Amino acid sequence: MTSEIFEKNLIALERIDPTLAETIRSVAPDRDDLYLERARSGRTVVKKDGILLHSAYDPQKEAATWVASAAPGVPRGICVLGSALGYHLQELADRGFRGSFIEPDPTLFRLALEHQDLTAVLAQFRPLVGIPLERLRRAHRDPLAGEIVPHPASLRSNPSYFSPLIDYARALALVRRGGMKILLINPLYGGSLPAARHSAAALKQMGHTVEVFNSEAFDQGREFAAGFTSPAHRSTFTSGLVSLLGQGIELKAQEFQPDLVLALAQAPLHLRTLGRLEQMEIPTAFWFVEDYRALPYWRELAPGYSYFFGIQRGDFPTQLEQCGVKNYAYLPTAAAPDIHAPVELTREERDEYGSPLSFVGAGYHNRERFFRGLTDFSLKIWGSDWPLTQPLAPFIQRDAAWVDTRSAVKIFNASAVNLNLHSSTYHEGIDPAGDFVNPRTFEIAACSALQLVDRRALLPELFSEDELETYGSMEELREKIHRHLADPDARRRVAAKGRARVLAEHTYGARMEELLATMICAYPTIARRREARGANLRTLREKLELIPGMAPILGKIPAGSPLDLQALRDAIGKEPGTLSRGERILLMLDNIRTAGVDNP
Amino acid sequence: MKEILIINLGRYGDLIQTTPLLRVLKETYPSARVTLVAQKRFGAILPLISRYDRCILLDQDGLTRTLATSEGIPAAYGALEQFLGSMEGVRYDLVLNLTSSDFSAHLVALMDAAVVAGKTSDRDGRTLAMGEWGLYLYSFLRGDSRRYNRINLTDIFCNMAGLVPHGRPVELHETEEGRRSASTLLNRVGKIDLPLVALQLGASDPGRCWPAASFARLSDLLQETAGVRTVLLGSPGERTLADQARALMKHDPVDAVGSTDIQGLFSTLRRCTLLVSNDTGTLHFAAAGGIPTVMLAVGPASFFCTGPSSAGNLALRPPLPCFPCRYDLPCGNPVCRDSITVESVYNACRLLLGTPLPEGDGYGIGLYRSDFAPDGYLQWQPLCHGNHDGEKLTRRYARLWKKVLGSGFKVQGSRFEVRGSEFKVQGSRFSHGDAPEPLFPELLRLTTEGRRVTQEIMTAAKLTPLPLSRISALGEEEAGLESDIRCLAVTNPDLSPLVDFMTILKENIAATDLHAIAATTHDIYARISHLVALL
Repeated sequence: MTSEIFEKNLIALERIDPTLAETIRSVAPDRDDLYLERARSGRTVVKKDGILLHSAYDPQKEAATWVASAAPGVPRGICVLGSALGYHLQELADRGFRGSFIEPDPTLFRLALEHQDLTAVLAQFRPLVGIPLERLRRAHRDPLAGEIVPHPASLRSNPSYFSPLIDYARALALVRRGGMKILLINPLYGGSLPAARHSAAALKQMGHTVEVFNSEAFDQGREFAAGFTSPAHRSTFTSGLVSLLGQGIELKAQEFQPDLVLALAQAPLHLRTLGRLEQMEIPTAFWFVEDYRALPYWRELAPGYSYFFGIQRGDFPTQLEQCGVKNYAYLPTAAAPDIHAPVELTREERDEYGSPLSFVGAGYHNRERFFRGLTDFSLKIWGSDWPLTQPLAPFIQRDAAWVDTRSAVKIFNASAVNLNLHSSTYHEGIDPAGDFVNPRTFEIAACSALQLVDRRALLPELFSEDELETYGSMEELREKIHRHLADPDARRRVAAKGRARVLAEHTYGARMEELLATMICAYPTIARRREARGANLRTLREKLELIPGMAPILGKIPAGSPLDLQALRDAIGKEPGTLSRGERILLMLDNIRTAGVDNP
Repeated sequence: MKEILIINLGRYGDLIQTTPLLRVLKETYPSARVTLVAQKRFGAILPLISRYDRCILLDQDGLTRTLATSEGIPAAYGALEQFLGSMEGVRYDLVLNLTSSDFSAHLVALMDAAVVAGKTSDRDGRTLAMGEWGLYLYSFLRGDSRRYNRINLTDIFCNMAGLVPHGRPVELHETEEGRRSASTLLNRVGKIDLPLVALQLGASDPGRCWPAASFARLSDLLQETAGVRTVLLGSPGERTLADQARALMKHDPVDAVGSTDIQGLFSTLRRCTLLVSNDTGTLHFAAAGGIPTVMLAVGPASFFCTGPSSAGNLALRPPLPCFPCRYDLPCGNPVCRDSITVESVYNACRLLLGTPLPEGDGYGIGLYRSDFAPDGYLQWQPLCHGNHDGEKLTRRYARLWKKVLGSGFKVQGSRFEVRGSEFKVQGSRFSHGDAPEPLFPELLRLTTEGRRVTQEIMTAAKLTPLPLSRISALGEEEAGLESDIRCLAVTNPDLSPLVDFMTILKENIAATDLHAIAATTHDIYARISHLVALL
């Protein structure tokens, strides 16, 4: 009987998730901490670590009672935390609920499949079983952000898994409601600027109010500093510039009153400014989208941030901890799908940007050495800092001019095979210990273009093998180039899967959701501020609606969006000659707020 | 004229400078009701001002506090509605806006007014300057033009109301409360037999302040050699500045900083022999009390524009070509603060105390004295080190503006008929064939070109179908001319008053259809040509 039900369930599971079915089949059915016994009603129940996950009397009746009290009144999509032996899932499925359920313990789920007919459950609920928390947060954001229904006994039996998950799910739901106020500090210069801009765009798209501190406007000051002959003078001047920008950030924070400050690598924030922001009770997040080994300045600043996000694991978290960093999370880079996307190219563009094999990126030492082995291919190399010398000179495009994002997207789209080799200043080719994944990996995939990327320690958890091609040596690379150049269909298949993965998991929107939700979990004040503003917002809107003439203006401001004088002023009609009395009064109030009434 | 509304949301000094206007309005229209709108923060001066019938106070500080958070928007909206309600429901024959802010422009736009002078706002929310003198006022507040203005603000205010300046000073009326306050203050320091010289150390803007150390030395010099006792005046916020100065003084002054209310300040000043001050409201209090003043024109302060409006005052200007600072260019090197020497201020004080100026060059610092010209306007005459060549041009400008701007909203017998912000050239075609060689021939050439191009646009605008490419080319040509004219003023700042006036006229064009815009622009070029010829 048990084996018959198990096989029936496994067939149903294979249909929806063959990998999980395979895992479950290979899981050992017995474990010391799991103990089966009979309830008085005769049904099988399970104890985990001595905690009974069902009623010892009648688990089916218990499930019915629980569903009636804990589940939403009307059947809809939900995410159930904990499968136990599945009585409550059966009851939910019977009542028409659907969605997903999360169970960290594959053995426990196997027991459920052995003892209950869960085919109806599997038809209506997607099982998310045995998935580590971090992977769950990154790959299954939608169920988490939906309606969470925890199974109480499962919660009791595994609080270390479910409690943070519940906190995170609540935070994620709040993040998805928008309405947070975020001060985003752009870097003064460098490669992290696009990431900052993509992050700002994603946050705005999510409905948050983002004030961007455009530090890059002062980059000329850095260039100016280069004019000093003495390094000490240069350093003094640059440090003064950073100090000035720090004051600017502080003033902006005072004016804007953000829920949190997000700074990208190379943002001009020093410890003094971070300390002042902390005094203002504004949590700060730093997304260090750089290689910690190449840019060591993080050591000085990291302890000043409330939360440090980086693109590396390994030794990095330990080093951060030794510097005094309390909160660290791994947050890889991403792609911006509205920019990095498949594009229709004209014939001229295909001729200009296209080639069987291409590379976009700066001419680092390892690339310059490694690509010498590809000169028998029809190769185009795009990007700056390439030495225009033999043997690569004939392949370098536009005299090694810098390539803007739009052109890069066209190149990715127009090339049959896109090369990706992570940079190194001292390796002769592939960095065998390379860990982080560069933005180009996500960007090429987002364009639905095929890429061959050098193997990186952190790549497998971001892409599976059929979503992009990897290489670990020149021989392997050459073999794969030949293979893919000869098989356009295979190229398309791999590229399409790569794009699907990026859209599902690796967009800046997804990263910002993860960052904000993580911050909210660590700093509940962010949520409280956001909620308080939301409540005030509703009251304020109600009060404003009572003012004659306000309805058309309020109608232009989406519910839930920040409601302040600036928003009201921006919503004032632009049609010529139509300024109403109410609109004029709002403009007058805005004048008072910004300039006063007696300015010259 | 039954209802007149005057909006002045400025500070104490601005309100005092409104008093000649109030007087002349009441004398001209004795039965009219004059409503004054002021800021509540400066309402303490109202008991000293007469010749208005009602005053409506705007609590800007309260509104600012209410608006500190978004939750305050409905309450602030309600408060502003209430403020507006106290002014609305009246048909004003004349609204004079003496404030330059966008807030005041919107306020004017909400009033039911027959005639407006000063800033207002159209139905798109665009700020416009109304009336000939209103246009002039806002043209010289920008760029370099202010350096060339020789018409005092009090006289401009009168002209904005269509009234001729009358050669009388600003006025305030002492109150019994003020007298008591001054007596209490001075009795506190005991009997003083010596004449009192008041020193006002601060100003609303640190950029307008003569150094505290200089005031300290001046105070000592005066007390040591001039047989006077000095009195330090200032608001409670200027306490630190006063302490800095006192720490450097050898002889104690009477320290009244933070001890006087507004009525007490006026009465205290009336007990003084003279006042030495930065560009502050206190200067105007003294002028209204008939007390001679020595004004230190530091930073953007210009005694020609906003100096105390009474006869017999002295003003010192720094010997620097950048005097006065532009409002729109913050100074990174305020050398003018130190360029007015203690000795030159001391000599000016001695002159007012009855001792002639000593022999010598006076340290190169320009010293001017105020009086009323026969035409009723306030003027500042150089006593020493005046910029005589420069003064010739500025006097020509002053004569020009007085001649051509007429009186505000109705100009009898003028070439220009003013209708709100628009004007048109009347009568015969403009010709300068017989005129003497103009001062600025290149500007004349460009404006003449401007007239030709705009005339061609007007002709093209009447054709059907519209010759769009031709109009576009002409439009570009006209924009190029305007740009050339602006560049001309950059290389030759002496042209700034004319070019800035042209700019504000163009910004003020209210027409919307092509022909009307071209016609108005044509008239503006014609007018500037005319002004060049007259200058």
